[in-house]
Amino acid sequence: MHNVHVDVVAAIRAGDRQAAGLLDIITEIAGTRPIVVHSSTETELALRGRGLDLLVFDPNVVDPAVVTAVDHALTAPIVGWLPRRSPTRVADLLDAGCDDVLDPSMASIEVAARLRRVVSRRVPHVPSRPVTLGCLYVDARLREATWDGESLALTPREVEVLQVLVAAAGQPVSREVIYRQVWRWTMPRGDRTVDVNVKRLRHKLAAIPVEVVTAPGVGYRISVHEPDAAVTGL
Amino acid sequence: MRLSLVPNRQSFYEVFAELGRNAHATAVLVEERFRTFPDGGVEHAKVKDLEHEGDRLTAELYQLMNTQYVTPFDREDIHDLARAIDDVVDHLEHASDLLGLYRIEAPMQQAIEQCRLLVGATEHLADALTNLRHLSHLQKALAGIKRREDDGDRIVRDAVAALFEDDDISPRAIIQWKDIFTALEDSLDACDTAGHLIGNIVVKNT
Repeated sequence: MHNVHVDVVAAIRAGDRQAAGLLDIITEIAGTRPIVVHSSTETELALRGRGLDLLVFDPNVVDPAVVTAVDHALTAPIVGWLPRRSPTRVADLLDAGCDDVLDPSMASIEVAARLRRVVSRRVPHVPSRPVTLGCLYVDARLREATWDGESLALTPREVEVLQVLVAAAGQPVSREVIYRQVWRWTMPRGDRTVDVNVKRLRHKLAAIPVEVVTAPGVGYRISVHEPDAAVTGL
Repeated sequence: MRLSLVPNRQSFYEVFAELGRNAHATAVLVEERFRTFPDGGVEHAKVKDLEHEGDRLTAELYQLMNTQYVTPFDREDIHDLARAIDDVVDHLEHASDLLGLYRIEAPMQQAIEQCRLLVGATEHLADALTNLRHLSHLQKALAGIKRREDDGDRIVRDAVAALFEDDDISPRAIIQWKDIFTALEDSLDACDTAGHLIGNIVVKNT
């Protein structure tokens, strides 16, 4: 995971003692505690408007069909968690589109290795749904960004970078995460692609009250200078 | 072609000094191109112009060699030194060309560092070539070239290692940048070769 912050949502049953070890492993790999939810509704809410890096779910908590219907699940890695191993259910989950299926019979070292592999292999994309922050509207799929309805003259790459920043709702996003989400590879150390694109973005956004702020030691974050600017996924 | 029996040492030294200045000017331009790429104003055509100027000067030197009966030092040394300086510029031009040819989106920091070292190394090379006629006080310049070549070795190792640190780095980026790092390293190596040749000339002629 290259020492980057990894956003994980874990949908597990309340009181699943065996999942405690799983959460510890996720925490160690991701560098932060996962968001733990216990119902289908909570899962949907947790996934909305979030630049998700990994979803771990128990099919007893949330239906795989619901998971795959959520937009982020189409791009972030999905891992099934079976408190009781069943070859049939493993097969079903893999057929449903899961990247891997874990269960308590696996040693911690195996679980950690599988999770690392899933997250490093599966490439998270730019959130495919449009996002807004105040008057700023970004839709990378349509290569479109507007401010207060007025189109912004940005390249497709710049729109994608902007969408990643807007989806983070003002929170800092590392260069490595931006690169992985937009260019879909691991950023080589020393690569200045993100910086060059941010520099161009800043220049092109200079006329509107939107600023790409450097987050020292982290990367970049978006700032919109207008009252009550809140990010929403449409 | 008539062979002149009257030594024209002055012209040899002047052309070598010109070659040194041209190599340094090329390194300065390439450094700016890398540092400001892709939004800077340094087009590859400007680098290409300097490379052509280097070719012209090298041809002039060979012409002098072919028309002078007496040369300031061994013809073989003159030939090798001119070729090494020409290599410095050729490899710089190649690296600059690859930025456009490979449709590079943005530079890597390590390549910019290599370019900075090349600016320093060619400055010392130009200094040494300007003072070639005296065959003295060259050690500081030659040591400067050597130091930058050593630093360049360290940077290129780190640069290549960075491309292979992760299995998920784009193969395209690996191919592109390995070629560019190598071209810049070859230019620095050619500077080092030129420095060695100047050192040998000093030993042979003093």
